Amino acid sequence: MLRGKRTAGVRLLMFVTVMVAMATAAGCGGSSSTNGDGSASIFTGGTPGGTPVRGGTLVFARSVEPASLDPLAMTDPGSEWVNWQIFDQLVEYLPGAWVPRPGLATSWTVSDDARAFDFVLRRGVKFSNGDPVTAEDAAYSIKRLTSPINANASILGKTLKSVTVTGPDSIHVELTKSTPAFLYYLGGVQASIVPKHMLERIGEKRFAEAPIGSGPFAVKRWQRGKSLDLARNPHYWRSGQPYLDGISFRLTPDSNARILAVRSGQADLADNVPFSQIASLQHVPNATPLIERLAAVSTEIFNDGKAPFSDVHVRKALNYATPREQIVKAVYRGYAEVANSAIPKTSEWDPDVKPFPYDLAKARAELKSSSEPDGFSMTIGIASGDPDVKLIATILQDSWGRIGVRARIAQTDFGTLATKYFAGDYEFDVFPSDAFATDMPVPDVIGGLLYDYGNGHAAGSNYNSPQAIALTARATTTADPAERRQLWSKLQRLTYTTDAAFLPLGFLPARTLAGKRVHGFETLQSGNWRMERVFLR
Amino acid sequence: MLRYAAARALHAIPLVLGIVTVAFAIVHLVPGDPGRIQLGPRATEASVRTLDHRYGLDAPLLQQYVTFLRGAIQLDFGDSFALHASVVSTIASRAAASGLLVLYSVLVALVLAVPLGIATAVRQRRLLDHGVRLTGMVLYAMPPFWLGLLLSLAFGLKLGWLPTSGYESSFGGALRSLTLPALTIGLIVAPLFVRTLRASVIETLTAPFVESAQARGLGRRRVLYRHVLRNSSIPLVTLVGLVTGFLISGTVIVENVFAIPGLGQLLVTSVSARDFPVVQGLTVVFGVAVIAINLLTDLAYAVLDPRVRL
Repeated sequence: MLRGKRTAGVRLLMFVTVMVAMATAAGCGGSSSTNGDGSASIFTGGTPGGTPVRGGTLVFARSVEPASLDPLAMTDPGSEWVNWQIFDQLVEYLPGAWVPRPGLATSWTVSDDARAFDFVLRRGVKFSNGDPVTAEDAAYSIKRLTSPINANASILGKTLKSVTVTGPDSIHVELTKSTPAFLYYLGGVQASIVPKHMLERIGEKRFAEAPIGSGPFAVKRWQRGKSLDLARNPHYWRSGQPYLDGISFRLTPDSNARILAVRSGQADLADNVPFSQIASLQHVPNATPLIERLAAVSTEIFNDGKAPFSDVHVRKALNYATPREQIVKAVYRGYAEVANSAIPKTSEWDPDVKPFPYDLAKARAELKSSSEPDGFSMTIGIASGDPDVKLIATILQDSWGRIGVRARIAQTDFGTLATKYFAGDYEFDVFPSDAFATDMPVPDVIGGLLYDYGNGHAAGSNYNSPQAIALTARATTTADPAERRQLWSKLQRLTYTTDAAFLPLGFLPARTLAGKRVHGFETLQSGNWRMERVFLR
Repeated sequence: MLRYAAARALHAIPLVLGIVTVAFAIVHLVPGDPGRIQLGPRATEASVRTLDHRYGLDAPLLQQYVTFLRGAIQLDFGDSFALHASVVSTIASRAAASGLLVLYSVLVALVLAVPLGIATAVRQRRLLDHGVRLTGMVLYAMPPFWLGLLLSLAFGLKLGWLPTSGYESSFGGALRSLTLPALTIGLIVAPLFVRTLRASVIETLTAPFVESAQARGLGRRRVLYRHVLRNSSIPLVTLVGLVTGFLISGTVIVENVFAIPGLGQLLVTSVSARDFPVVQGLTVVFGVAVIAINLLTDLAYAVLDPRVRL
């Protein structure tokens, strides 16, 4: 037994050892990674193709689970991208050019004023329970767009006047005014074709638990909080597809757990790979990180209705004082592109709009012209638990401090942040990276939300510009493609450059980890996957 | 003992009522509209109001409380706003995973702690004692998510012995999939048990009956495990009861790391989504569970020490 000074020495040694061990244990985390090169070649594309092999169940480790399997009810990624595997739409989007292609409709005509649409439906299509898909089902499903349970009813169903069955395989849609984007809306998951009689018989609530669709897969088993298992739809209309016997979506909230699941072979795919781990995952032997184009942007929101953010000079000053390149490098590790638009890249995106340069001199000059020439104090609101958001807020706090804007970061849970946001009780909020994404090739939905004050106060931003409202109304109703492009470009310049209404940071990619046996997998720009094309080998 | 248990059960009713009332008040006081949170920024005010009406959230608070209490008496906590399923079935589907995880974790901790607690007490201030206490401090200080990931990396990825995440509902599958999560929690909790038992055993070793047992020629092992351990267990039993009660809802981080569909994670996501019925239902479940564990702890005292009268 040790005694006296030697005992004290042992105790000191023990203390130091423990402190070092604790510091090492607490300080370690994540993986070391190198930066992406930040060039346009950040995209990898999907997994290799080849001759399809039939069979096998693909396991997909997902960060979120569906809230509802009623395609109309929820627009969260957990629900939406799963529902796309269960249901079909009249038009669909496939890999390649992001344009509407024949889905359950084999052809269509659009009136010159884009107010009337006629669809010819595909014959012989059946739901997964064997019931035929009829024109009544199609008409019923389109009419549902106006339902109050549709979170996007204010846009998707806004101009819908009537849907009538004109033949055993045809329907006619009338709109109250010209809406050229309506055809695109019909390719969205909310316009999924559902069985009318079944829904009317069992009700929306029960349907949302055990839905029936005509898509490539049908629900086999749903264990909330754990997994959603889909099985091949034996009646799927695409001959020979899907190749997979089934898909098992496993809820795995922790990103490290998802990655380990793929690396250990327990899962085949994992979504939402953290930016910080992409570079290191490129060197692992049995998994590949996929970086693919996605219609998503990281846009942060000023409360444009509250002083001093109602002052355009203040907003411009903060935009000039934002080091976007640094954020792309530090937060997104080079796997993002500096954004020149508050909304994601869609069909009418103008690449010629110049992003705000990082220029502190210009920032100070704008602030000097503003209502707060000597700077001011403000609060940056963020949701807790998101390290990327925290880092963005920290970089902004530091950079804006150099022009005299003293920012305090306030972390709350997401529910509180969202409530205060929609109540207008905020100054500037930084949202999770996937907050501004669209599943539409056209900007009408997300642009209509963000640019039109009449639409939920411009999605809660309180951006109230009569010019933007007027331009949005014209841009969403003109049937002239050239005029549409011109109007959306004007809107982009107005909201981004002239009004600096928001703080866009970067266009973000889809980040998926794929195991070696996955073939034919690709993430579309909408975020959707065409899982009927995927096979395991 | 039965009369004692029944009396404690009766006393639990106002206690659970108090817990539930406080939880109801707190959850409703926190800002957050479930309808708006669910539907997101694209929803119109009309859509949000429709959803709030469907959930009964536009009724006066007192009315909502009475409705909830009336349902709770019949074990009907309504439907989850976010999950669109009955609260009872939602909780029931996750209770097994959580319950098994907690029991398995406590078992792992005890299997490690009991022999180590005794060994370190008997070999005070020797290398084993210092080593166990130092290791215990490091493990206790380690963040659970980090320890969990280390174990997952080692045993799941590198060695391939156990699944890295997920939960299988069959008994064998559950044991297999819960081993790493239970080891994570057990390794963090075990040092507390070791230190408590160690201190208690050191004290008991100086008791006259130990000396007299040794004088009567009883073997060392028999003296330690049959006499000393039993008489040193009361503080450990108290701690096990407290830790088990805490773990009922406190395993959320480990559940998250290992993708275990447990009650801890359900509580966190429900609070975030302002899913009031689920939060209220879980509060009742946790309250009842803690009361039951406390009762079992008291009963254990009586079993271990006949001098304890309930």
